[in-house]
Amino acid sequence: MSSIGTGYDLAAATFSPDGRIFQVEYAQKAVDNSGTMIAVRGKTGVVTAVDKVIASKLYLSTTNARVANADTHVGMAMAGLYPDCRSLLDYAVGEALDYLKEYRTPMPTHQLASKLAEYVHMFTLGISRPFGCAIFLSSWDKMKGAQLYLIEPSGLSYEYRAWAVGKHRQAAKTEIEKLKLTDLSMDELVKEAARIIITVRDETKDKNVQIEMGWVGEHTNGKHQLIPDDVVKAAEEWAKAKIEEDENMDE
Amino acid sequence: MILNVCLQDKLVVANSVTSVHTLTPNIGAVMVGMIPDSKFQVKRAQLEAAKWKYQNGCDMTADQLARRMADINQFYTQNAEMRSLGCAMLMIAYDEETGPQIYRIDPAGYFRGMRAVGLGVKQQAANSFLEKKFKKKSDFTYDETVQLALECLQSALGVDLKSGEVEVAVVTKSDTSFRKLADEAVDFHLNAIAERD
Repeated sequence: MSSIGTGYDLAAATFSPDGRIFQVEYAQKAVDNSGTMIAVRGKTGVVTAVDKVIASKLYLSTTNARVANADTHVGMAMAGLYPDCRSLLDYAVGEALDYLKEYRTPMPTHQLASKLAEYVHMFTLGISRPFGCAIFLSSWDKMKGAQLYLIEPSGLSYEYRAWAVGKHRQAAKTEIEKLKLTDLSMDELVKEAARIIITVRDETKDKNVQIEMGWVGEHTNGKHQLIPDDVVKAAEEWAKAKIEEDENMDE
Repeated sequence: MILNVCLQDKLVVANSVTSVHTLTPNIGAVMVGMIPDSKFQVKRAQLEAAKWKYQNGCDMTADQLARRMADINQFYTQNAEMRSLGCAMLMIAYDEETGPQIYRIDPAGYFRGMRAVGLGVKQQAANSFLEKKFKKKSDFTYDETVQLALECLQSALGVDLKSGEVEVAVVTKSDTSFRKLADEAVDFHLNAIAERD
C-alpha cells in the first residue's frame, strides 16, 4: 500500500488536503519495516523482546542493544531507526534523572511516557523530521503493579496489556491474543515471548537475527534488566521444541 | 459535554484513552482531532491558565482562555515556523457572573461562544439536531441537558450508546468544578432516554 504524497509529503509542516501528515506516516513505516518487537504484561511483571538484525558476524552480540534502561526501574525496548532510538534513550535517561534529582523519588512511568510522547510529538510539527522509532516503556512496582506504555512516531502514547510493532506485528498480535497473560508466571512469559518471536519469523527473509529480551517484575524487585543469555537461550530452545511438537501434532 | 470514544484494541488499557481534559479546576475541554496535537494544545491551555493565575492572582475565565487559545492558533496560521494543530477544542465552564459557557476553538484561530455545539465526523447532523431542539426551548434542567447531549450523539451517529462507549463531563451551578460522570450516572441517563421513547 503506497500512497504517494505528491508534494504534500516534503515536510512535517504540511497537511495534505485530506488532513494527513505524510512525513509522520512515513516515519511510522520506518518502524513497520524494522525487526519485530513485542511486549507482554503478566501478573507480576513485564517482558519485552526484540528481534535484532545482526548486520555483520564481526559484531559482538552485545552491540547495538535494543533493550536498555531509562532508569533503574524503567526499561526501554526500541524498534525502528537505531540512531533515533539512541537519541530518545538519551532523552529518557536525562528526564528520569532530572526528576530524581528534583523530587528525590523515581519518576513515575506514566509521566516518563508522557514526557517522551510530548518530545516525539514536537518533532512532528515541522521543525525537524519525525523520529523513525517506537519505544516500549516497561516497569513494575508494588503500588501500581506492572505497567507497559508504547510511544509511536506520531507522539501517540497508550498504556497496553501487550502489543507488537515491526515487520510481523499482525501475526505477533494474533499469537499474543491467544495467551491468557494474567495466568502466566514470569518464566512462562519469557518462554512465550521467545516462542512468538520465533514463530512469526519469516525463514526466507529474516536471516541473521537474534532475540534480545528484557524483564522487570516482582522477581527483580522492580529493577529492569536484560534477561541473562542463558535464560534467553533456554527459552529459545524450549520455543523451538514446542514449535516442532506443534507441527508434529498437526501432521 | 460528551464524547464518543472509538473502541480501541482489547490489548489497550481502556482508561488510559481519554479525550476529556481538565484545564483548570473549573474549566474543562474535550478535544477532537489528532491525539498528539490535542495533548499538546491541552498542555498549552493548562499552562496559559496557570500563568494567568500566577501573574494576576485571579482565575482565568473561560472566555479569556478561549480567546488566548484562539490567538495562539492564529499565530500558527500566519507564521511559517510551525504548522497549525490538527485538533479543535470544546471548552466548558460555569462562570459565576455570566452562567454556563461553551466555547468552540478551531485551528483557524476562530472562536465563538455557543449555546450548543457538535464537533467531529457527524457534526452537521449533531448541530441540526441541536438547532431543532433549541428552537423550541432553551431552559433545560440538568437532567434534561445531559439527556439532550446523549440523545444528540445517538441520533447523529445512528447508534444506541452504552456507558462504556462515551465519556460525559459536566459543570453545574451547584458545583462549578469540571468533572466526569461515572458509568452508573451515564447509564441512568441513557435508560431515562430509552424509557421516554
